[in-house]
Amino acid sequence: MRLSIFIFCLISFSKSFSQGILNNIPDSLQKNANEIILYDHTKFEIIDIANSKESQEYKVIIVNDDTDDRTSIQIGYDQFTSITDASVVVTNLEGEELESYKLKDFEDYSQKGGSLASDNRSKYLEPKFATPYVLEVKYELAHIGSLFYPTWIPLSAENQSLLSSTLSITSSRDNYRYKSFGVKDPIQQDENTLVWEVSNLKAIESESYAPQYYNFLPVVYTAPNQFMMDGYEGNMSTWKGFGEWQNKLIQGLNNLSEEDLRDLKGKIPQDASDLDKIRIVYEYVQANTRYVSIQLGIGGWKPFESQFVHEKKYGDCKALSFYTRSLLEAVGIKSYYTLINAGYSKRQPFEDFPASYFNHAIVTVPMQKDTIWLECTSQTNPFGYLGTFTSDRNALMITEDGGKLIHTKSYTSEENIQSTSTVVEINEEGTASVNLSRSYYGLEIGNDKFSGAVLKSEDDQKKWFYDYHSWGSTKLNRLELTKPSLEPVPQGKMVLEATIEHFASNNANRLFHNPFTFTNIKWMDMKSKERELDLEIKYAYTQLDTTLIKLPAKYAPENLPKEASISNKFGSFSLKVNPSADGIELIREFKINEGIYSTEEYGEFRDFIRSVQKSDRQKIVMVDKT
Amino acid sequence: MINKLTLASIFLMVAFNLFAQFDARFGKVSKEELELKECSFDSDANSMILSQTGFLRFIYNDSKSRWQYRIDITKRIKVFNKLDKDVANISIVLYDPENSSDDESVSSLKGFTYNLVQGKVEKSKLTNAEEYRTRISDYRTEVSFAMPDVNDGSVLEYKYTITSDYISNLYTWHFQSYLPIYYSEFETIIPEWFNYSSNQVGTYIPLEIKESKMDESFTYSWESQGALGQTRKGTSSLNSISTKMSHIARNTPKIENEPFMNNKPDIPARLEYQLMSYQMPGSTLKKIAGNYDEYTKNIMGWDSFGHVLNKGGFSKDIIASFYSSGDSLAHSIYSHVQNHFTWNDVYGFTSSDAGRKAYNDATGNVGSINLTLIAMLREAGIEAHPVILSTRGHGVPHPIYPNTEDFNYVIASVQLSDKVVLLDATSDYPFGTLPVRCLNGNGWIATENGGKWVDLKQGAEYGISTMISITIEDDELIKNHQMKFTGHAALDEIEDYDEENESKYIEAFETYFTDSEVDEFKYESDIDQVVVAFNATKDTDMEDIMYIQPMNIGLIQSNPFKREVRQSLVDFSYPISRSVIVQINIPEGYTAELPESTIIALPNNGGRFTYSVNQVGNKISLLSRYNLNQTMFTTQEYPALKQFYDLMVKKNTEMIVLKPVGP
Repeated sequence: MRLSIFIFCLISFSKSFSQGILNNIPDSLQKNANEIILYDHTKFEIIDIANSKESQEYKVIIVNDDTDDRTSIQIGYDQFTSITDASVVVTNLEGEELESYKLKDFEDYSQKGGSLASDNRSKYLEPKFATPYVLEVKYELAHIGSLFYPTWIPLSAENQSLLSSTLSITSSRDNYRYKSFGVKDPIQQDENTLVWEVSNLKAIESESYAPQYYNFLPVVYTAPNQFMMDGYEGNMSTWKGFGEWQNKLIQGLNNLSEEDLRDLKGKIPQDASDLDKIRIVYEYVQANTRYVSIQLGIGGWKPFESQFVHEKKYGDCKALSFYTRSLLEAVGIKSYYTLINAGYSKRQPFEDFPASYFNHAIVTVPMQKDTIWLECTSQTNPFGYLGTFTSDRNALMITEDGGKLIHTKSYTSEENIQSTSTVVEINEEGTASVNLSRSYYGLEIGNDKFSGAVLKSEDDQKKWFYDYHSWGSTKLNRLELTKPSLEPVPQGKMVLEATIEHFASNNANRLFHNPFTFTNIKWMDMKSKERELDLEIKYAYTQLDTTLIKLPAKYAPENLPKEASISNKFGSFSLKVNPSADGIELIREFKINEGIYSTEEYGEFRDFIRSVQKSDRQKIVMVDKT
Repeated sequence: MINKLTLASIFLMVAFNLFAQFDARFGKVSKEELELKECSFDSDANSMILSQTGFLRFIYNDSKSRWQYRIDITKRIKVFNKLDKDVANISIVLYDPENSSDDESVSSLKGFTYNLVQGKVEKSKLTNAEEYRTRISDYRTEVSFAMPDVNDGSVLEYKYTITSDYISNLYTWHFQSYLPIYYSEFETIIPEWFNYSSNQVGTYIPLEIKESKMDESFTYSWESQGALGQTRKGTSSLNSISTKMSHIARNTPKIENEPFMNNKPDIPARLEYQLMSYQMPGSTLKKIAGNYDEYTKNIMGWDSFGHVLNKGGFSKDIIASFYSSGDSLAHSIYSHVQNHFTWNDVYGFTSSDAGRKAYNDATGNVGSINLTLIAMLREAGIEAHPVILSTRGHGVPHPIYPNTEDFNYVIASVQLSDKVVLLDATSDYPFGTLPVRCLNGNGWIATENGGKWVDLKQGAEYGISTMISITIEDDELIKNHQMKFTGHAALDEIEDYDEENESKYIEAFETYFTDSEVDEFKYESDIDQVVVAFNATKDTDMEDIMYIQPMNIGLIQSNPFKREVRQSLVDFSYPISRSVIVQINIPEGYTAELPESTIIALPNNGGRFTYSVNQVGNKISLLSRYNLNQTMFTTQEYPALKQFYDLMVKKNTEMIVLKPVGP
């Protein structure tokens, strides 16, 4: 028995001593690092207007199993990019080779994802070794289209540290541009080569409400001036030029015949205003098409012909947007095909650095007063509503004269409101009957996935309710969801009647009840006292609640929540408590502003949120008077 | 009574009979189907499958010289409204390995969309240009297409033929999908030489079955060398009295996605076929698969399974160095293998490396590590057997017909002096504790002379016991906690503690005490238990009535089961026990108002909750104890489970009131 303990010790000893190259790495770069990149060199060589070569060579220590960024090697390719070489060598920390792989050992996958068809593919390799181990990876790509030049983000994930990383670009000088953040100016290595370098970057740890990494980590963006894709040549050095190229792609695609348009035109009354016309066209598109993603070759940037969409009644974002634009044109409304970077995070194209930032297309309709934007891929999206998918960001509007950068609608805390009014009647057993009416305005229609739930069947709406509302043992007696109104700032509604058992917990002659069950901000995670990264609130909103609590006849309030009123740069909070013969009325208002806050401001932000959370925990205590 | 029953069944038939006449053959779309406004047995459905039919028969492929099956599939979908995304975007995925001559292929794809336009039926054809073929991976290809001209009210119909070389498992026919299905028919014609077992698995639904015999004839060409070396060619035919079977399901409800679902692939109702044996004329019977006993004999003969179990000779010296015997030797070998190997995260129940090679590599998949463990235990004279299993989420192995693909993991079953334990040396868990991934129904113990099923959850436990003592003095309310975690609860804590720095770990406890300060935090861990101690202190006003939430941590205070009904099993990973004991001394000059004691039990001793309150003098003690013995709950048992949780949550959140004694 003793001996076996001895062996056990020996093994753990030998493990702790076999640190190999880890011994040479400073502690500061080992801290919180699941992966340590020893070097990472990206080379990009511009051959001519269309062709380029790219290579990447890196060596990384996979320290432990809590990581997945660099443990697998995934190299994307498509019609415009081919992989010319790849090799991977796995060694232990002493440098002894464990395994090596060539390109033919990679698995090959389609990357079509949710698309019906796409030529995006990848070569994939995931060496499986016990950690720690070292990967040496090399690969080379040949590009035959130049719409995209590399974006270099040396640190690609959290819990990853880096000793040295370089980007080198070789080119005759004036056919590309760059823009960098957090990186020193490049060194001129030779006449045609610039080299950027970063070294000794510490690992960052993920934190809730952190901004996107490319907003604060070192990054170099590059983009071509003259470029060519599938024979379509353009100049990207100005937005106007980029727009002109896009114009070439959409040239002649509007081939709708009068016959095709008859049905639509028949729907437009003589006296229709421009706004009416736009609305009718949008509804027509929603009723007659559906979204199908097809991305093949230049088709990734070039829409289908309008007639194809009209006949087949489907298309991707480009095809449906272009089709909508064609229909608008037919009824005499000027509109513009518009490229945008969609997603919850607002990735902003830089005004002074034109490049291909875009992954989505919409339609811009300038009006005398407000501009209207049309999202054409959804059958249910309210007219003019952008949501967190495309609101508040720069987009490229394609005009006759080329491209023009515009900014989409930003929704304010006055527009994003969840407003709830509730009557709660509690009986002596603590069971409550609840009548609640909640309106969702603006971006808040996405709250608790309401905008999706409202489209579901009655039965599934009930399931949605139970899945997304933790109010205790609730039994719905009635649930009515009203679809968001069809306007740029939509309004949706939920009305319900429910019985909630044990809503007040009773003990002897008292009842305890938390009146902030329906609305609170419990879910905002502000546990951490310390913070390393900035904090970002991406979208502003307001919660408004009026709750009337009716007590059982024999009971009187013994303890009530305390009133509060806070206002600061982050937002505001107020609670009013009005006891009356009818019951206890509580009026709660919480408002949060969008913004990016520094680590210095974090303490104050945390205090604000925690004081609201504390208020949200308060209880009403009722006591039996008899 | 009889009358009532008849009436009810007539009513059911009427209610479910959507159409006066329904013809599932391709192209026989009726106007009635286009006019249909809703699915009669799921009135909320946005779309439904009107029919899907599959006709499977065998062919002899002369050029490949092999048997194949061919299945004609026709599917007809009604779109009430276009809200179901992708319902008109079709994907057919085939098993077609790039480096194999065996494959599956699709042919004869045809499709039409039917619309009712001003009372007239109009057809739009799916054109070849709208078909896309994609190689999804090195093993699978896909044919995808979007149906054209789809409107609210459309009926889509398409058909295609799959030809497959993989006759050992015939096409698995799904009678259930994420859309309701009005009519589903699967017909097979199987020649007399092939013996398949067909198993209805997944959610139970009634099937109408018809069986008949029919004559079939298969032509093949032959070549032979004559005595003089000349080649003779010809064709002949083989006649079979084949079995034609058809299975029909009507009005099948859609599958629901539910919270806490384990083993999703097991849910849809379906029919699976496995080739058991075949016998061609003039040859002997060839067995392919059989029952578990035969299967066990089979895998025991594999170089990557049975044969490695007795190759523990390499470990003689290692075992001798432990200087122990019996149960303690089993412990030593287990911890040695655990420490020696680093698992590479790959599953699988086989390994031809197991034994010396794997030991020298000190790394490998589950099979390499655990089969080596068994070989070493056997070398030490300890009775040990492999247990093959399917991990959580991977489905449940078929109980009667073994299928290699059902299993993805192997562990060791070891006979100790007084009991049998299950070991998995890929984990760093204590002797006899399996990782949660293994806790999925039954595993099959494979022994040299057969085998049997074993409950993988046997011996699994999850325990938290919490002692809280509350003191109130100087306007402070101090709760002292001592929490003991055992079994999987301890392993969870150890993992969290090791993964985070201590302050992050403490934060997780602080969330339970958002209005209190948590301090004097202590953490101690042993191999199989964790003890955590801390104080939570908050300000209180002793002049006033005090409302005290006696228990905040270590117990269930919200009900995870929120939906009213459930369609899939609830599957807890392990039995659970949680207890919280609270002691309070009532301060001088106060009286206490206390919650009531309660006991709630689940049927059949499935679980029990005890809440008891006692006051002796100025000492109050409260106990909340929850034991869950049963780990699987059927949909019928769900309401009871939900209610049990509701009542438990209510008691666990009750308050104590301390009141100053009146002046």
